[in-house]
Amino acid sequence: MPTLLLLGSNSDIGKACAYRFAAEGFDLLLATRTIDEEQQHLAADLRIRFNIQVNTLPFDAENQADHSAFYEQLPQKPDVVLTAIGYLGDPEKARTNQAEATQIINANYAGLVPILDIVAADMTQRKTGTIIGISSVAGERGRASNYHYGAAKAGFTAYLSGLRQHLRPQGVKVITIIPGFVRTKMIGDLPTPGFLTATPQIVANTIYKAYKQQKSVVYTLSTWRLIMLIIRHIPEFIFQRLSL
Amino acid sequence: MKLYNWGKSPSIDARLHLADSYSATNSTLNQLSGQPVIPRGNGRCYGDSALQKNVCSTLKLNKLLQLDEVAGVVRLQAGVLLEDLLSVLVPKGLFLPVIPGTRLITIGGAIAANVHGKNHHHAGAFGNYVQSFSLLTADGQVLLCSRTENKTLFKNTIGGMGTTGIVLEATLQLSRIETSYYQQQSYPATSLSHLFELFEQQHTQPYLVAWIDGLASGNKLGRGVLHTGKSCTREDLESQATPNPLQIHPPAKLSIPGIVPSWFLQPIVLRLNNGYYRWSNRKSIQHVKHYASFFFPLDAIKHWNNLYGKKGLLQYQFVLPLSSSLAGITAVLEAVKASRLCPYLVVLKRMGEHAPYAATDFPMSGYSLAIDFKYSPKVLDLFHLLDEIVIQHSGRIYLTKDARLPAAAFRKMYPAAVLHSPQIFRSLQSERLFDL
Ligand SMILES: Cc1cc2nc3c(=O)[nH]c(=O)nc-3n(C[C@H](O)[C@H](O)[C@H](O)COP(=O)(O)OP(=O)(O)OC[C@H]3O[C@@H](n4cnc5c(N)ncnc54)[C@H](O)[C@@H]3O)c2cc1C
Ligand SMILES: NC(=O)c1ccc[n+]([C@@H]2O[C@H](COP(=O)([O-])OP(=O)(O)OC[C@H]3O[C@@H](n4cnc5c(N)ncnc54)[C@H](OP(=O)(O)O)[C@@H]3O)[C@@H](O)[C@H]2O)c1
Repeated sequence: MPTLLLLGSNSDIGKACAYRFAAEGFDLLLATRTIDEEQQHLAADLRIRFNIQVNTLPFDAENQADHSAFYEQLPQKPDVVLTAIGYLGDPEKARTNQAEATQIINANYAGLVPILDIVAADMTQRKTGTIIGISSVAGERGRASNYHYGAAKAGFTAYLSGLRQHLRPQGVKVITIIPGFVRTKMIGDLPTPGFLTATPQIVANTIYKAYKQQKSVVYTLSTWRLIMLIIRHIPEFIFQRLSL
Repeated sequence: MKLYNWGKSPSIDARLHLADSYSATNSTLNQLSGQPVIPRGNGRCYGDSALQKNVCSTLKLNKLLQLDEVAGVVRLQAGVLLEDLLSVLVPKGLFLPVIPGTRLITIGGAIAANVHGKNHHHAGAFGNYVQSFSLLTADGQVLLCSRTENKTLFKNTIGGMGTTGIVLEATLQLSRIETSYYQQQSYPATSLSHLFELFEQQHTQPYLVAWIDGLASGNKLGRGVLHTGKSCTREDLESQATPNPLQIHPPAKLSIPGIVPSWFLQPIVLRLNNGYYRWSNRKSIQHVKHYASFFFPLDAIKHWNNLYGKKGLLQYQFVLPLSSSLAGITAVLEAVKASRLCPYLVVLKRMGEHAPYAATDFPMSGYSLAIDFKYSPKVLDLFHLLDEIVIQHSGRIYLTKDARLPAAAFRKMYPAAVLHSPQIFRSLQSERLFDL
């Protein structure tokens, strides 16, 4: 049975992905900051429903020094690595509070690089594997409302793009997922237009399909691809005057 | 948001709190700081049992926690739907010992209403198979309740209609099946007493249920068809072209939109009733049915309550002790006939010996009848009349189907009933029944 390493298994999108991949017979390595009762319930449920192996492992993107030991100690090496880690944070606070800004940068970009570099090296050696990273439309162009988050996501998107080029000759696939709005605890009750808002299940289906079809860059809800195309092409002298 | 249950009335503006963990459930209670709240499963009760201004939904507490296939025991969260559980159990040859007429209810709802199936005369109600559960009580404690621990709370929660607290998880004893198919045999009865005779003759059959032609009158009053059933063995299935003996239920394909006019159903039902009786009267028919059509014929169509129009339906389900069943049910059918209201679906079940649970628990040894009506003020008048007949015959009505029982009648039907934490866990139904 193939194995999925899910980084951020308490993420709503991540949980939906766990069910989606489990339904296809994947064994699961669930990595999360805190292994609480709920994570244990999640693991039990997945085991019983799908007759698969499920392990829960502690993982914090910010503890970069531990990443290599974390990967070394996995009970089995994964065929697919998916990261659903992310932190929107408090954009206003981040403007003046360095700790908040750093946490946003770490959770969305800097803390993901060390672990994915380790995964990439291992997969290169094994000449097989797929890395799936969840970035965001926020990374397509920096906006006043959340530029630390946007910048970190932009960095992550660029990293995945480069990694994809680098690993292609090694037979390792890298997939970038770019969601728009998704109804999860990250955005809470924030009012968003319904037709632009996906559910975690929709995103999970898109991700699995992208994996099956070995896609490179996939937007969840394809309208977003068009919207971001337009936003990217708005001339800067106009863009800076907009409130987005 | 607007919230209502299967019968569609009453409907209220409520806040639905969807907690996905035990700690989140507890914080919901804390945040409400003393305002009334009622647990809610899948809203398949008919009236106002699962309604309150604040409602704590368990639908996200939907995890299976432990399955011991050898002992046939499952531990799971209260918001798991029977449909979901069965799709895991059936391929392993495991099943639920008690199954109601819909698979779209939660474990919490099954415990709170102590639901019964077509095998109550053999197996009793759902509560008999609950080994233990953990209950979040009004003071924020989580208590493990079983037949040996917190015994009183255990008893009062089974059939307690959500008034003792929120069941978070439960451990259930399962049964075993060789196949997921059932052998059903049908016997037509020309009158109510004939139907009762058939029930008593067939008492050894594990599953018994009768459909009654609610439109028949005079000496045909109560004519109907008794269906008996038992689980098929592998051998029973050999002659059948069933590739997988442990096939699970298919998803419902049809769905009724919420725009059906309320006059839609009546002419169809009138024809069906007559036709069905004639058809099954020709001979006693035997066939093999999958559990989905054997237990859940109505689940084949999603939202079939929309067939009753915007105002929905009212069901009157009651049980009478064995000794007064024939007289009482005759009187009820006569009163329905005299009202000239159209009974859409009439179902009779035999109930057996019943272990005592909460003071609001429904089943007792005897016969239970359920009648569906399209909502109208006249139906409410009829129900008052029926209450009197039921009380006269020492019976009671099923609270999980109720939307209108007056407090006075309730006290006569359930004289020992009390509210356990009247300030916190109470539904609109409790407020009505206990005059709060
Ligand atoms: C088509 C159809 C057929 C049916 N057939 C049958 C039948 O054959 N036999 C039968 O017995 N019933 C039958 N019912 C009724 C149904 O089984 C009950 O109403 C059941 O209680 C509904 O469960 P639910 O999960 O939808 O709970 P809800 O309707 O949401 O709630 C019902 C009650 O359970 C309480 N409750 C729910 N969850 C919890 C919890 N976690 N902790 C504490 N209390 C809780 C609520 O407070 C409320 O009082 C039928 C209903 C329908 C719609
Ligand atoms: N929801 C949206 O609208 C949206 C839109 C575009 C992109 N995305 C992206 O989609 C991904 C999944 O997010 P989601 O919507 O499912 O939100 P979510 O439920 O909040 O998931 C984010 C997860 O990241 C985890 N996390 C944060 N910092 C971490 C760290 N340092 N180490 C380990 N884990 C950490 C969180 O862990 P805890 O549970 O322990 O806090 C949380 O489970 C994220 O990358 C997000 O940026 C979401």
